[in-house]
Amino acid sequence: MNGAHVQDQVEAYALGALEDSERAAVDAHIAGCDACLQLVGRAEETVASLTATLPSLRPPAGLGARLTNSAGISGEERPMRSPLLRFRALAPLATAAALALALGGTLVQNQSMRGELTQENGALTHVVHAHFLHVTMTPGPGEAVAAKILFARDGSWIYVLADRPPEGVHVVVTVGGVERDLGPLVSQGAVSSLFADVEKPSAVTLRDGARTIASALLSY
Amino acid sequence: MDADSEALANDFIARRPAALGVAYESYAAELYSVARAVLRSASDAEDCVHDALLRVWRTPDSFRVERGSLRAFLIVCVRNEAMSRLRSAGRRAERERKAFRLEPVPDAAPLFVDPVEAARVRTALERLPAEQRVALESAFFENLSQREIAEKLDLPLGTVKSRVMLGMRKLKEDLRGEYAS
Repeated sequence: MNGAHVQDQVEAYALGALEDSERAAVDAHIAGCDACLQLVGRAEETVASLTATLPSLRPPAGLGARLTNSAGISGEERPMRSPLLRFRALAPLATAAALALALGGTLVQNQSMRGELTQENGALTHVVHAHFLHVTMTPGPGEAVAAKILFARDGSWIYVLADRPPEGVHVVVTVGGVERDLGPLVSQGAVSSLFADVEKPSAVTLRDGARTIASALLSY
Repeated sequence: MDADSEALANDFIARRPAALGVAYESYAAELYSVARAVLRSASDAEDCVHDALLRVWRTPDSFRVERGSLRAFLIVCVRNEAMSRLRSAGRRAERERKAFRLEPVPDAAPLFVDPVEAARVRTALERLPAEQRVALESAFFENLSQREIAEKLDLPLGTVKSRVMLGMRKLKEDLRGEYAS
């Protein structure tokens, strides 16, 4: 370990707000101190969260190939497509899917969307982006689940996301006073979700049997 | 960290050739957007992402699993590279830009801003005590060092350091403790 612990500097380090000499000292220390390295990692997560407030821009098309070429990585060793889709990317994918699905008119869970859609849908996404709303769901009595709904302004689709809901929770929509079960949320790690074509529901409820986990009224 | 992210981090650490491309493809929009937010120029941002990732890839032990998230690490690396460029070669251009009152115009349409996540983060920022929020926003959005923030706000450096540290810790707790806005 090099020097004293740097726990009071990790936040400024992650923000890039240290002077060069201070940064070098932190770098030297965390090279040999796992405890401070973990604190740096957590501070970096917070900085990464702040990027959600920035406009997301499409990188130049050739940048990935330029990078792997510079690294001496051959074409056979390059990925055809990213296996990871961050949570942040799911919403635009949902909107893009909504337009595509509006043509096909089928109920599709986002599991299948993940295999079919890529960020190449960006132009489509941009068009659709102007046409959706979102609402936070209210937890049921004694429930603590956090959940959101993205939904089309014209009521043609909903995209429900919940943070670690109980297993087996179903999404139930109310259309014209009649409830319709759309099926269970699909787990994507911490976040579970369901995308569905609907007919302008007035309410969405997360249910575990007769138990109401969360609900929301949709205003268009 | 989910299983895919963990597998990618392990592949990246092992320098399996495909891992560089996978990491880029997975986080490209975020990395490029961060670089653009600092540098404004598309070509500078492209060079910044390229050089930062290449340096990380070529430096053994640049990322270790104990650090946590490869995504967050790469975002911070690219942002640091961008700020380093801004603070050195970019200083003169920035002064000239201000002198001529020219505002850089983004040359690419936004791909998407996730309204839910953006609102969650903005809400968490708004919940910070004002003095901590100002210090944190000066560092993140204006790319200022703590010393520069102290000069801008005419505050002792120690006060700024304290506000940055406390603001970041409160923001972290807020974001971790509450999923929804």
